[in-house]
Amino acid sequence: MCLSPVPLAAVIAARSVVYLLTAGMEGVVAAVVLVFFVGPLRVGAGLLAVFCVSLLGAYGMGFLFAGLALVFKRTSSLTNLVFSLMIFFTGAFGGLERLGWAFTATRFLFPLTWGISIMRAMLAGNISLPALWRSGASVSLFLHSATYLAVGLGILAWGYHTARRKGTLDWHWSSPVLRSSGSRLCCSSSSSM
Amino acid sequence: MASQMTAQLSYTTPEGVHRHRFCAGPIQSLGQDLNHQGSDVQFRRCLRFHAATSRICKSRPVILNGITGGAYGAQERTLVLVGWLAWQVAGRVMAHLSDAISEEAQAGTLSRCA
Repeated sequence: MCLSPVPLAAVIAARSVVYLLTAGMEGVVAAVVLVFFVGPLRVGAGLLAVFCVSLLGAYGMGFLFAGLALVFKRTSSLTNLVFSLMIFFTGAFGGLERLGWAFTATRFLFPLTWGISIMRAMLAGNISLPALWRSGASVSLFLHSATYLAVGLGILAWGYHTARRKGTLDWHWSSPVLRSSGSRLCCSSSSSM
Repeated sequence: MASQMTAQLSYTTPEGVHRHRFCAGPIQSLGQDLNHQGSDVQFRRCLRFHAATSRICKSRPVILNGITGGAYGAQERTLVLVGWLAWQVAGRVMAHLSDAISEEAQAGTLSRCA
């Protein structure tokens, strides 16, 4: 089945931007409300830049899960689990820097840990943007996020081609109740090449 | 959470088993036949709407209690706020991308017409 004359990359890019705008606006609203309780938030260009670089890694992980979802269909439980666990493993509520090797492992494993750590350090005044640049941490963070993005896009491409080859691109599985009865929901028999 | 917000009704006809799922809340009348392609997508959008609204309503008081009730100083509060915001925005984008691309795949819009 083919419904769209729009290229795949355009669809994915549009979806990505829309989700960023939605989540970003919600974040801005939350920040405006919470600032009254917390105090002024000094958001500088450096902080935004580090966040944007970290966001590339988050996009990479999102594409990775999307690629898996195209092949294995029911991956939302895994995605939600990782999203929930990330609040601990990204150090969002407390710095993980004291954990030593465990922090090193988590900052390479999760796309946001390193960025949040740097953002916290910048806000605390421990490091400035020029110092960050001189130390090479900004380049390392960029490489880390870019690697995540590349791997995510690669797995998305693999999932897309695998699903098309198997003819299951536009199939989705039913609820566990339906699945246990042996039936499967299917939108069309195959996807057009 | 989903089980609290939804109900499922099933019945059998000569054409087969039909199941309807209902999503309670501001978006009404979403009981749809799941054998139709679009209904499940619409249903999941409804669920996501509820998940998002409940997350907003529930998580902010938790954050507020954590950073205003504890022995946090002004700087610690700011650090927690920034970490939470970064996790919330970037994590949500990450978590929703796979659902979004799955929706597009199910709708057939990932298969480009030649």
